[in-house]
Amino acid sequence: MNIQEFKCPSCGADLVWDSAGQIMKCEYCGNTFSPDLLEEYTQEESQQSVEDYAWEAYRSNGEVNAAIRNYVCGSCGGQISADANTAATNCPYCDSPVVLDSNVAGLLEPDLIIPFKKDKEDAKKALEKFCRKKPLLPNGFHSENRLEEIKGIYVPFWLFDCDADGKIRYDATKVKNTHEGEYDVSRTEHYMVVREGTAKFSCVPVDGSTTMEDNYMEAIEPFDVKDGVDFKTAYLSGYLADRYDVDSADAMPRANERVSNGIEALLRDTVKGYSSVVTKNKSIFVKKGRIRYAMMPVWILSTQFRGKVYKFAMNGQTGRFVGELPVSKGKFAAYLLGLTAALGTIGSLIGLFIL
Amino acid sequence: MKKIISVAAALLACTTISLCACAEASVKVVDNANIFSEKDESKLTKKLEDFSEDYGVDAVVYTTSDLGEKSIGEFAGEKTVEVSLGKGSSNDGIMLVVCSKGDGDICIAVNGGAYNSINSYGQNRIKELVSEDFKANEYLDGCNQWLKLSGKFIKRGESGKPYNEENKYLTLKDKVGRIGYSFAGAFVISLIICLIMSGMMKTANPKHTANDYVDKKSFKLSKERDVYLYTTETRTKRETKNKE
Repeated sequence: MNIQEFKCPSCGADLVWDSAGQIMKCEYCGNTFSPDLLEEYTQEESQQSVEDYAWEAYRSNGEVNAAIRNYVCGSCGGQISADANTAATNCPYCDSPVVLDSNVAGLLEPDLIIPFKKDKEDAKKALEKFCRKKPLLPNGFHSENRLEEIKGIYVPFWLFDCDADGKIRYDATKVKNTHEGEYDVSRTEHYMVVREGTAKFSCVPVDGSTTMEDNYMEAIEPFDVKDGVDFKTAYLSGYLADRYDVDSADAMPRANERVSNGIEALLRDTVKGYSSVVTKNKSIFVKKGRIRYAMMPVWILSTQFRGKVYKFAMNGQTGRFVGELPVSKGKFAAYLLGLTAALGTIGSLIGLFIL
Repeated sequence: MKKIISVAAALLACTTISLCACAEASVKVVDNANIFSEKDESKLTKKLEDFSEDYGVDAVVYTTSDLGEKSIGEFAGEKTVEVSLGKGSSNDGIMLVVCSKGDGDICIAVNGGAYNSINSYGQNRIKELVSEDFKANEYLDGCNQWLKLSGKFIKRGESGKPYNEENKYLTLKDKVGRIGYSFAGAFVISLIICLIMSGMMKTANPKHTANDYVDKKSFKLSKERDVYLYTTETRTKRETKNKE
């Protein structure tokens, strides 16, 4: 026969049965707990697992049956494709020359493609707007930088559909501060909070190309897959298409991570009214998964400034623009000193004449 | 007999009036503890006389090596009467009592209208600033410093804005400290602002969750439990200001 020992949730000492009060009592800290509560507490305490869901492998649609030219970048190794009427000369990612290569595999036909909604002019305007009101931008950035040809490219993405179940136990507190006589009293009420729920995720994208950094591709999200259509070679006219070099199996961990974080955030949002909330343990399961292959429209802009390449990307569907601009060390120092002088003077005047 | 009594009464009245008119203590330094050399005592006496003339406030230094059973405050109170501390119609006077025994404890007594300028805040503040000299047995320096600070407090009091808890007296060290703290705080705030501005130059940041792709109304809570466990309590005694 197994005898279960109960530990005090407050101090961890052994609990004993208080026959007078008909309750479990901690002889160390004096807290009392009902047996039902302790059973639930112990049960919730022991649950913890986050499993990496094993998605079914993606079944390819085969290569595109059309006149497609395949190019390889000698610098970054990127493989891009274009229709026979679109000539590619430079790599859209690193701006190095590309060469035709008939040895590389053809373009994999996607399950869906989202056609471009934003044009090149939109991308140029977005870059101008992005550079506005940036006080730390070096003075010569606009005049000295060399904006290469802006390129529209279909970037390969893996789309993950799934359901996610989550159960999370939190330790939460409510703090009440009062004054009693000559004492400041702080009372902290401790709670066990449990949330369990499920959500359906559709078309979670994971970048299928290593050529463009994942953070750029995630930053231009979201893509609205409702605009997705069946692939036709005509959509490639005037644009380039990147070939995937991350297969669906390699993209799965990132999908699992984002879905797990997603259900965790959804459950956390329902815990309200506490001073502090700490996740104690969690169980998250992904199920009913499906993988699709898609091509998403992205405008890629790269510019050189003082020998360094700065990349920008714009979502060709929504116009969301992201990138990285250089920071002028001189301006950073000037702002730091100027602000310190201004705030320090105001603070000194207050310190000397008002306080 | 009645005549004798009335003459005696008249004489007493005349003595009282003359005493009031010349209430200023004639002795400026009473060095019972023998902490001053003759040269230092004469220097100090001269300074006290000059102070008295400049500010219209009587100033006396009284030293002792034995307070008896009294506190230094009670001792000082007795000595202000004994030396007839005070000058002018409002009997203005300040006295510094120094006990050479132990740590060189001191007490500042203030008489008459001088209290408007050197109130209880002023007495504590001046004591705080000169105590170090007396603890180090630098008695003459301590007395000079006491006179200098008393002069500043009286001058400020005459301008109608005496130093008090709301209008504190700041030394050069205090001022430099406040300016230093202001600039250190300003530097930290400025650095945070500049780092935020610098962070705005890079917007290509990864997404943490996939919540842009949750189907509408698909999120359902199947369990929602908030269970109270226990309460902990901390008590901190509030700091109270010492009332002297």
